[in-house]
Amino acid sequence: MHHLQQSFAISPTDLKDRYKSLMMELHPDRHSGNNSDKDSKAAGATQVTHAYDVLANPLSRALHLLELNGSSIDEGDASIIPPSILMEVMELREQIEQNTTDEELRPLLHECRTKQSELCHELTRAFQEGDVTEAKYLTSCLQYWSRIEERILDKITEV
Amino acid sequence: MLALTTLRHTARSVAIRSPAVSRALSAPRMAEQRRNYHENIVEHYENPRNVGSLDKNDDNVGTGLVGAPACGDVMKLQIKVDENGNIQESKFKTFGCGSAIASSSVATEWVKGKHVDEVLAIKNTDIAAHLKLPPVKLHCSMLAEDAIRAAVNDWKEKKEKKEATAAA
Repeated sequence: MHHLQQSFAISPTDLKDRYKSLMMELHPDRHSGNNSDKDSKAAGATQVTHAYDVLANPLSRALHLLELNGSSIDEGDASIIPPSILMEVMELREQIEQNTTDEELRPLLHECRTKQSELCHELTRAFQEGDVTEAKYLTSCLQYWSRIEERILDKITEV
Repeated sequence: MLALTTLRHTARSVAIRSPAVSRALSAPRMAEQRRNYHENIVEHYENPRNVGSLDKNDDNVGTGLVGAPACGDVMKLQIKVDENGNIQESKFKTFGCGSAIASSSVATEWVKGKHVDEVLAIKNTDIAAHLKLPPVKLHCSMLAEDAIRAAVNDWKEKKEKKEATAAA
């Protein structure tokens, strides 16, 4: 585990392939060991699955990388987000509550997803350059826009 | 091998589940957790007081906008102040968890009828104690305290600007 390289940019197919190969290794049917051996394999499989979930989702991946850097986003970090962004989030959320039809909500969903991929793009750069302050700011934005997407999806299925 | 080692490494480091990462993966719903909360929170969550908006461009209105980046909550608290500095009306809009909604609802109730200088004394611990917030939700009451202060500051800034213009 020396010189582990941590990167925000990952290939989803690569990650999935690695996940599958690790799970093959840990599969209980592949090993005829004793029970405690099987138990530890099962625990390992649970951990690998959780790790896969964390790494597959950009927001949790970013939060995890920040934690590894010793710079997690705390509840007290209220000043990371400037007022102009908070205003944008507030207005967008009000707009989502006022809009009721799928036709009104779909463009917002599209906008929200575009915003998130832009943020991920910038996050890749920030993590590469080791700019932790910028990475924290961008991850906080990603947190907001991912909550917004969650809400839009809730509403679309409600209609 | 990068992804493989990263995956192995992550499997170890997330074994102790981090609250922030877990929250990102699954947002718990208020309904599922309701039984764990004190009735005061549930009451304010189900029947929030003073939800709405005041005209933010009105000189007598102060707007406080605050956010919690750790969970993606955003809270707006507004006050309408008379010429003596007394708060006549207060409204809020909070997009966040039940505790954040309840905290801002209580905050609007408490500031109404009080003087702007008096409400600065409202502490998050008072709100948390009233709602019996669990320790993990204390930051929600902190958000409400910050929102009150931000709203008063916004109103004071507007007032000073108006007085400066009148004096000029």
